[in-house]
Amino acid sequence: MMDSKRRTFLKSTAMAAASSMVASNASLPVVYADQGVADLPDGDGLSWNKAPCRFCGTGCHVQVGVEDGRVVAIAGDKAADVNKGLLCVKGYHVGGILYGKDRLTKPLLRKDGKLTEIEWDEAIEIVAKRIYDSPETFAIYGSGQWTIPEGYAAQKFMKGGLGNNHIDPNARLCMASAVTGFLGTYGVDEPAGCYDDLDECDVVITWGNNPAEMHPVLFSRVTDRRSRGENVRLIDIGTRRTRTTDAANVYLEMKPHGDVPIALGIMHLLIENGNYDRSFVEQHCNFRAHPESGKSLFGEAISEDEFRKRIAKYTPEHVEELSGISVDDLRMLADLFANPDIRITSLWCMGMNQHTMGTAVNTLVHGVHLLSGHFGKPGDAPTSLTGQPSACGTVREVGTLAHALPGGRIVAKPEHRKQSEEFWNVREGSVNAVPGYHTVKMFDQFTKPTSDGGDITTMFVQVTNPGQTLPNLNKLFNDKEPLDDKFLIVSEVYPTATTELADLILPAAMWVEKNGVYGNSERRTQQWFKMVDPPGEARDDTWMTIAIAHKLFEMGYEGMKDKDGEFIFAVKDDAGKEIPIWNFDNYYDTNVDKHLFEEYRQFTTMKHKNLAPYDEYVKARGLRWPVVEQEDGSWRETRFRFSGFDDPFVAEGEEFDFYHSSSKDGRAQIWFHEYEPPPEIPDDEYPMWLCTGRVLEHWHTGTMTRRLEPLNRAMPTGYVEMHMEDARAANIRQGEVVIVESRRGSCELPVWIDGRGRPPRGSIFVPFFDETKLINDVTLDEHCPISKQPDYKKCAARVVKKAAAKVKS
Amino acid sequence: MPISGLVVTFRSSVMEHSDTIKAIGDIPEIELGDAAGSKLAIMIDSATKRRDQQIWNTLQQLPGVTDLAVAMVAFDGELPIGSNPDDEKTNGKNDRTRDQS
Repeated sequence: MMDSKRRTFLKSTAMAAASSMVASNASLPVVYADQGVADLPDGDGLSWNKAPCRFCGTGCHVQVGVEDGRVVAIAGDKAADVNKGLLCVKGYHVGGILYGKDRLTKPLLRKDGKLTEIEWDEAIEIVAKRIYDSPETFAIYGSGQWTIPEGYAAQKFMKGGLGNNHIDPNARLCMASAVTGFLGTYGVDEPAGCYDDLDECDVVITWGNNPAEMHPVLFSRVTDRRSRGENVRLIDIGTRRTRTTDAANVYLEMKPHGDVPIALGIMHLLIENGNYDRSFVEQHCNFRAHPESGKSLFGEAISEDEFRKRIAKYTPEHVEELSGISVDDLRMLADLFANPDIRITSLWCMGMNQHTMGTAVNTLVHGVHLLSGHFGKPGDAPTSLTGQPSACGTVREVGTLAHALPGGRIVAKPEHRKQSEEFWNVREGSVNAVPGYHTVKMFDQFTKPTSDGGDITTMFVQVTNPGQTLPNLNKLFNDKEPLDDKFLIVSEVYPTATTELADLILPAAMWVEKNGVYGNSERRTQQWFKMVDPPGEARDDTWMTIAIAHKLFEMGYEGMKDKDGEFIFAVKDDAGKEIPIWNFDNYYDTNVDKHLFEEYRQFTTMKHKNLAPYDEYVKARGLRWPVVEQEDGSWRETRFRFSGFDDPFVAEGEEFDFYHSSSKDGRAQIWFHEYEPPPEIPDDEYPMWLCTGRVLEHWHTGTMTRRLEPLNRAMPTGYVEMHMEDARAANIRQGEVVIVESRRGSCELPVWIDGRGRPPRGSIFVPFFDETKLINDVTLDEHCPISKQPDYKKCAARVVKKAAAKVKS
Repeated sequence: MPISGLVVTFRSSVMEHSDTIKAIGDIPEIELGDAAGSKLAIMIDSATKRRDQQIWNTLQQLPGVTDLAVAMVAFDGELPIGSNPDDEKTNGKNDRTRDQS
């Protein structure tokens, strides 16, 4: 227990932290290095240091209080521009994620069906031998929770060392459509604006997005402005009412897939009424569509006349029929975009990304902003949010996708492969030109018998839980169980649905048990240092990759040698002597993160995603790229890309320049797409729409938050939300356990009638955090043809009373 | 046991919510701090995590309260945040619900 002196100290610190937040209400904080630390006085052995929160993509900074090698306190970091000292209910408890009772602390090998403790040397040797014997059938499945150095090391190991592109992240499941949307529109990924837009806008439109629960600190920037008397209008477009709806001025309930015709309908009205931003479009935009030959990322150019012709059929009446929102509401939206005197920010996340028209709807919403000129001014921005803390930094920027290379490069282009080989100092031709398997394909190939063409035999999963998050689990994950020649390696911190089928489990260090760098949703790169030791024999994921690589090097695997015959991850001390970082005892003899980051940084200038030196991030609470060195030696971040007033890569005197335009003329692309119905629609057999998602209290699959007692008590179980009338018609009572089933599988869940979220009649919602109630046994693996991102938001299902199911059987 | 510093945000100026302020002040574990505009600083020192959660829930439901944000939280060194009381299930070891069809 705490002694009274320390308790008194912590109480006064807590009150001081809260009071400082109240006092700072009137002005935005200015970022000064270490200001937050100075305000949280050390005492009785308690020391504070900065770190980004471990959970969502918002990228809040916390101050971590450490005493006697243990995290004992968490404070919001008021020196951080992202959260201005505030945290949500998850951030409040983030320190506790390290201390669940069942942390994995020793490598475990499955022998005769049972997990048995083994030593690290044996574990590394097992992995290396499997790769050595069959490098081309090895795959890594990574994560938007990988730190940037972790992802970079895995990327270099696979693509530079093994010449194997079968590396893909879980971010494929959450934001791949946002990536292809940005690429298709601007020729380069990631949002042009930033969180500052939320401080400046007059209107926020949430497109199938629930930031009140999923990005609560970010959402509080809007509600906070309102509480100060500012007029910020919130329009929530969704398929069910959520806590975001509660705060909205207007709620527009759309049919599943309705976002596509809504965006088309807004553009139709802007054209028909002649009140689009003609000047912006003439100077800065082209029109684009898929060619008749098929869909592709960049499509083909079409004329403005052709665009007008195609969009003519999306009249308000037709859009009402397709989307379910009324003619009047569509006109209201179009009138808002037609008003040049207001600033509009669009936000979206999984609703638009987990969509079989994911790329299409992303490009259409960008198109609405471009056509109306609501772009590139503070408050005027189409902005996608990410669900993971480094989906942007590690996946999108490091390029840990099956087709990509770091810094916006791709494996298909010879010059990009050559650049990467030069930066990595590996032999010409080392990087394979053929993209690897995307997530759904990768798991399909892993769970398919080798004799049937399943050509992935060894899978290494780091920092993610596909046994719970993949769609259609019975097809893509559970089928692995009986296949003896398939070998699943999982690096994890706690037992999960994935470790349940693992052949080898590697205990991992997490968050402030290791050095790290994340990149959040607004292009902000954030660094932290290791503060406490991991438990038992848990070790860093970057170390695991380097140790496996070195074992292969020792075995004589050529790909682990660079052009000079040295180990590809070699780090030398000031005297030029190699530091044996593959031995964990020596891993922290140097800052491996810094070495990897500085190597990676070379890639970032290739597509104007410039990063500053590592040491600049040590001083700051993150910097938004591109970060460019100034004449005085300081480093300047960029808030608004492509806008002449802020982006250093826009020539002086230019208002806008889309300098990575796919049409090579400095212009962005306004796309046209025909509406397509969802791949599965409710019918007599499966009459309900099923939508899945997240809840405030738990983060994704709950691996961390389910170990936090207050959060788990607040939200102890998965559930199915139902409309009162649907429940009544089926004679289902509040809390009754029912079976939700589809053509792919089933899941038992208690019913929550008209609960926190309120789905309309004919639809149900189930969160996916509960590992005892795997709703992804039920979901569909159909995906966007461009981004390959599956649609978790709509499929056909039915709700069956358990008693009725028993009678049937 | 939990110690936390919170910021309570009201729909309008703190001064217009005297009944709610009194209700907050009547909770024995809460110490009131500075107020400015629509925000009020408070410190909670509760005996158990369960009680901490109860106070949190109470505060969220009080009239005029629109938001509750955390400025700092301290953990008790001897009581690390534990697993779900229903550990066997939440660890996913033996109770995966799979399609049996």
